[in-house]
Amino acid sequence: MQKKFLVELEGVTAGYPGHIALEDVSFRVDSKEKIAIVGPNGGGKSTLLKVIMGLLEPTKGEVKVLGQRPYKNCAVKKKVAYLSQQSAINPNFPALIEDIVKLGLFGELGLLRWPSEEQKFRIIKALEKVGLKEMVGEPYSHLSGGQKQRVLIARALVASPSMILLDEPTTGLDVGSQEAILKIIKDLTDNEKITIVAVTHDQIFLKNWAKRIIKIENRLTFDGAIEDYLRGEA
Amino acid sequence: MQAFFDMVASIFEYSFLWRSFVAAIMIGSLCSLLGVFVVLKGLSFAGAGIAHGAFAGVAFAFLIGANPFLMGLVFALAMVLMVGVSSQKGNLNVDASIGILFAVTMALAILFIGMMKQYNTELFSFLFGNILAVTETDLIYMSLIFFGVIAVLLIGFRAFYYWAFDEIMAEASGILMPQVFYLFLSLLAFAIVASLKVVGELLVNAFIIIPAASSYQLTYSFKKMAVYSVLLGAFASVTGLVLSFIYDIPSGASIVIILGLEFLICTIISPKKRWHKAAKPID
Repeated sequence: MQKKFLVELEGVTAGYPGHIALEDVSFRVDSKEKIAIVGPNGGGKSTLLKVIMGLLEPTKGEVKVLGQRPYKNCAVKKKVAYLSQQSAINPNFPALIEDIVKLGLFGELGLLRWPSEEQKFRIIKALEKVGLKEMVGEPYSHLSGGQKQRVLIARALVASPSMILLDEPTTGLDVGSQEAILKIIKDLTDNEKITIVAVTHDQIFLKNWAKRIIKIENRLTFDGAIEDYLRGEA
Repeated sequence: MQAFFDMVASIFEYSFLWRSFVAAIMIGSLCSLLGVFVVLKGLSFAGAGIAHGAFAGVAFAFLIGANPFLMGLVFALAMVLMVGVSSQKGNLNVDASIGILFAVTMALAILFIGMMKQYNTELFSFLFGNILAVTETDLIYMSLIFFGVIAVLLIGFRAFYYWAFDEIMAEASGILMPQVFYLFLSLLAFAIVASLKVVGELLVNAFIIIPAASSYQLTYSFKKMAVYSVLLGAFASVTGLVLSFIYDIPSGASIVIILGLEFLICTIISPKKRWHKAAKPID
């Protein structure tokens, strides 16, 4: 029987009008893997995440997530969570922490349903996992950068995803916050068995968490173990 | 004080005043509610751009003898569509697209006015606003837009809220982009067209931006920001109208000056300010 992978990319080419950001990229992601995507700015890392999330349709090749084509596929979107870079979010957005975490339930609630008691309980559990249970009613803008990132992770966890895609999860954070995020992500991959794919430049994050490195420079230029990647970089 | 009581008595005596108050409250609260999203998404230029587009439509309607309200709406919605097409197909950001259309539609309005054989005072009431000239038909159009836009905002609240927080995460969660963005700009276009006669094309953006920016100073909660914004917008509209009646000054200008004062007061008393660091928000 053919093995089922969480993510399968076969000769994927994708980009924007007049610009090819990714060319002929192929790789597979097994469940429970710890994958870091590295590469220069403008090398196509964010485009790759968009292709996996189903926000961008490849112009060539095939992509499958959980055995299905992800483009405009709601079933896939319910099982794959995504965290934007902190810099993309208004740090003073007027919202309470629980409001932000509740956004993660959009796939289940849609526009008009109210959260059930069980879903409210999941919001508290998700905040507990990131160590912010006591701050559920606090304003989002009162939090530090690291705490904000933890709230966003809770937002991802509340939907019980099979995979989380992180875009630069520790960029711009102080060392203490980076360590706190790293600890949470380790716990998610080791104990919760969630597959995480993270775009990152953070060497501490790479060395202490990632097991497999995928390097994207518009094309796939490296795909292997972290040890081999670090040897090549040295 | 006597003048104020005379004014209140007049509302029941003169139907045009009653219509003006209803229009002021509807437009003040509608624009300030939409303004919450406009301010949080950094789309402050969008209101001014769409208003220019709508005014070009109104000018065209006067030139060809069509309904200014409907033609303003057609032009405003066309502008929303063109902003979308030029920003997506032309690889431009939204501000740049609006900037181009802002100038082009104003040029069109000037062209249409230039082509008219005679000076048209009614057209200029759409430029500067004349709330006392609101007719029953205008009020019907405004009511339809008011209830329609509020209904869409309420039904789509969760999607608009997620979009305002983070567009990519919203899209990754299954919210349709850029449809939500276009829908929001279309709601804004409807509200702006409904507001032209009340406050005028030149000042309508103040109705959208200032109440939301003022309420942003007061709270850390989105829902409270929306409620405060509506209250501030409606209060300024009514107060400005009363003052314009008492002192015989242009209503649009007096409303916007009250909005400006509200912003000043909210900024001074804001619990978000550093020197009020220890203070609790007005929640």
